[in-house]
Amino acid sequence: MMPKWKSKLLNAFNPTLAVAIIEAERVRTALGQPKSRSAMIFTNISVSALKDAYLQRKPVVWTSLLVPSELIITAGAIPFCPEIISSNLAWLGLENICLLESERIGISPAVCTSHRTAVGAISLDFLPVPDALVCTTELCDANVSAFRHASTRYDKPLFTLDIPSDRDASARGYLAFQLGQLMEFLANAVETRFNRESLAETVEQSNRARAALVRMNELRKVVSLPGGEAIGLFAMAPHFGRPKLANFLDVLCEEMSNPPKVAGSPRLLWLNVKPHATTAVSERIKRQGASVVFEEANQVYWPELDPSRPLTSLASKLLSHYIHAPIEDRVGRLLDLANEYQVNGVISLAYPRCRYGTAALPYILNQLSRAGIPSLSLDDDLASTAHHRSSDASTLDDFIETLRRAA
Amino acid sequence: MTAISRALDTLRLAAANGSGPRVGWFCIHAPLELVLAAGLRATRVRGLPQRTPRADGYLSQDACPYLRCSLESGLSGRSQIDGIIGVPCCDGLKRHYELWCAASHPSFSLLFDMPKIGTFAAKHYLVQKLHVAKQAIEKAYGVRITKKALHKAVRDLNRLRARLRRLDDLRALSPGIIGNGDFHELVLLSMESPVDVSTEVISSTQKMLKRRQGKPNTSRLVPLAVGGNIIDGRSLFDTADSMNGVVVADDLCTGNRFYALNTVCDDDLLDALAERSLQTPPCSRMVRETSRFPSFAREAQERGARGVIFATQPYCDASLLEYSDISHEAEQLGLPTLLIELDESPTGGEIAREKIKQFMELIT
Repeated sequence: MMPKWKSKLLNAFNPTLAVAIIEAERVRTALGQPKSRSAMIFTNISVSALKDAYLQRKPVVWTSLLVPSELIITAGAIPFCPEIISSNLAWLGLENICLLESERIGISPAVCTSHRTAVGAISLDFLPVPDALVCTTELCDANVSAFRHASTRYDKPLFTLDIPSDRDASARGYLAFQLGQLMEFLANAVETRFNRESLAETVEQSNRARAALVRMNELRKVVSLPGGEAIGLFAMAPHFGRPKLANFLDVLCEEMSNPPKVAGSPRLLWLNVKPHATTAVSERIKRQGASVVFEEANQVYWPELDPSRPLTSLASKLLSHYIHAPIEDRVGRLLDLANEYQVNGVISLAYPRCRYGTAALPYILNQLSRAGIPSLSLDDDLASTAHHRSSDASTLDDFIETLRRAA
Repeated sequence: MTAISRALDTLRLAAANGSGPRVGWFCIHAPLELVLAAGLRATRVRGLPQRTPRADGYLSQDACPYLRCSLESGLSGRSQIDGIIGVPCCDGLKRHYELWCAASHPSFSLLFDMPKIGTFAAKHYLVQKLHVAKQAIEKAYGVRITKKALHKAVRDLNRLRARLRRLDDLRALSPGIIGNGDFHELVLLSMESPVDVSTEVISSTQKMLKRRQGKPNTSRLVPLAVGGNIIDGRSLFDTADSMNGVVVADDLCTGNRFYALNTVCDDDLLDALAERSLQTPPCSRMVRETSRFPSFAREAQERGARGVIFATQPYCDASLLEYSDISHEAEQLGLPTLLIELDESPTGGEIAREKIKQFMELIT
């Protein structure tokens, strides 16, 4: 007999839930061990959160990528990140329907694909209705307008966290103060009461996940990561603070070591995030016997949180984001990663319309080249297959071959 | 040569010449008063259309033309800037500042962290940042910014802003008394030139126009409002001129946002500067309690505008995403809108011209 929730959902077909299920399958397949414990746990995490959101089992709070999920989870709400859903829609090839819709309602095609997809999905009622919305002013420019649009559309309150550019004590204080205001906002919007103990517990769980990620990243220096396509901080962002995330990462670390699988050669470092719409480049790299041994987006950039000072700690976490850092720091960190992971080259997908990730890309690649690290930049789109060019395959093959010869 | 042409030439000359260190700025939230109080010249860096071979080695192709063209000016040395103040109001501006520093090593550089929200906490933070900026300028140029000098700088800029507002009021009261392109260029040049010269030129231009002011013959003119962000050239305004469109109000970083408000001269000047900055009509990247469009739309309607041209730098995600909401709000107010993504290429100019023509026909 079909579970009640499933029949209820099938009665009101919702493409995003279908996406979630397929996303879970994708992770499972990418992990290479369809019946592994880690795959099962991640499947459970990603699907159950979306299921709860669609069935309104708890208040739903829309968040942008950097919003601290720890606060939303402590408030007893479900963080729902439209940017991640855009990626899921792209993975299914459903982004085009949303992009067309966004164009119909007047959004310029020059805007970031991920946000256009999200706005289109809002217009098509693909997404669960929020009880409240929280966004940040950084990562990226489009957030503020997209969340303002959603807030108006659903007539629900919006809280905007202003992430300062500076990273000094005054910036941390300013941000921590706002996080306190965010707690008040959430308490009103989802009718809950925060208590110090439960926030400390969520922060502890977030730290557990962080520690497991640090272990995983350490292991990756010698061992290849199963599921490299799907496992990333991007997809995990709304789950920090959930015990299940830490469990998943603990189990994944165990599975990585038993038995260990050594990465292929040449070894590559991936700049920023991988595209969500296609794995063509990654697959090509694998077919050539090379390996992406690490992604810039998966570095653990923030210090351990202090459960006794959760807001200041979370403020520090937000201010530590690698893409938020001055460009020289970002380049310096990339050089460190290249050294730590013993990479032979760097691969970058220059996502048009992603000002945050790629605005300074020519300079970054130049700096890497000066340091003797070869790089290849291909044009692609973060959340749409429209820009993917099959002609890039031979360029990629040549690059890998050059690296192999030089190794 | 007309009086307006003479005024423009005076400002062009003043913008290009002059001695002493120049501190370049890119966003209206840069603390210009502090620069002036230090005895320096604050000059807005323009991003006039040009090929950008040097800037392309730093910024990606989909950074907006303003950023690429102004960076090109900086890298080629044409901007004659020896210090810069960046404001990370958008992702592009932040990277632009960093790349400018990396590429040309200015003798002074400061990233002024303007908050994007308008709360009490934001003001407190902004005042702290103004203190930091004051100290940084003092240290870099070996000067002391006294209270008296800051008072004078505030008064000087207030005077310039007040003169620009009067000129702005005049174009609304007597549509067509000054060409759209000329008005826009006067505003742009007044941001580039020394404040005293700008104030004098704008003031005399306004007085001269006021003397000419008669009963306006507006029968053929179509009043328009222009919203958006940075318009650094005059071609869009000239196009409107050529079609009998007359701009009576604007909401631009290179327009009304620069001069909309004065700083209230009280004892705590840094507090007053912060207050002014946070009360300035916001760009789409800023977050305010209520939608920013209705107040501009109201003003546009009060000034008789029949439609709004929303002109934005291409690739400005915040503006482009906001446009669908703005057009919806405008529709409810009975104000037609047109979106123009600024493109200074010949083809881009033709497309814009055609769009404006159709829009004018629609609202006439």
